[in-house]
Amino acid sequence: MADKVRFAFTEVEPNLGALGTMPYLPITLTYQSQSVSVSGLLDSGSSVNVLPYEMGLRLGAVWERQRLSVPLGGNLSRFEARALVLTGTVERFPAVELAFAWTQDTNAPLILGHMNFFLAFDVCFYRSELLFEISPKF
Amino acid sequence: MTAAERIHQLVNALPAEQVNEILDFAEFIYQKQASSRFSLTNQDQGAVVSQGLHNSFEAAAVLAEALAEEKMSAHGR
Repeated sequence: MADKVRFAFTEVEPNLGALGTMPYLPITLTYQSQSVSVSGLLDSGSSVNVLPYEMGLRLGAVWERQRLSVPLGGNLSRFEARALVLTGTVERFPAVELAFAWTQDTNAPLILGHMNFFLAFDVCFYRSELLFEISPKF
Repeated sequence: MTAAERIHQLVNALPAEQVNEILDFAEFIYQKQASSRFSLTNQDQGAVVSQGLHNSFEAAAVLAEALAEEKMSAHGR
């Protein structure tokens, strides 16, 4: 099994050229028996993983059953968030447990941050080449 | 003998697998203590607003607690 996989940055704003590309990682999230394949923004500037409200619902999570409140800062501080532990699978790497701040903000992006995506994977950015590389920590 | 010394003594006498279980439990207790100060009912909302996602360390502590609980729960299954 390859221990590193490279991904291209994703174009999100065509008018800005290279500046309009961001590191979105394709990832499959699983909760109990339900899975969704999505893209999450690799955000080394975020302390936490953030899960948008609708995505949690698509996974079958029930808001009222999540008992740990997560005090998010910044723009997301206006919305309540609760902890939700999912399984994340990237490429053919072994699945890992990822804890998310499941926010009630329906416009929030899926964010992969330090707690705990960056604890589970090493990430190397090659911004000038519009590439990034992922390898799991064992 | 203090409790810490007794724990140290027991850890030295146990096989590695049991030591890892003690470690999981100790980390769970540690994270629980770290995050308990930041429950929504007690938090200073103003302080949270002044944070960004870059320094939402209280939030990170809660997620660590959730992960520790999940591991403890998996051990019990």
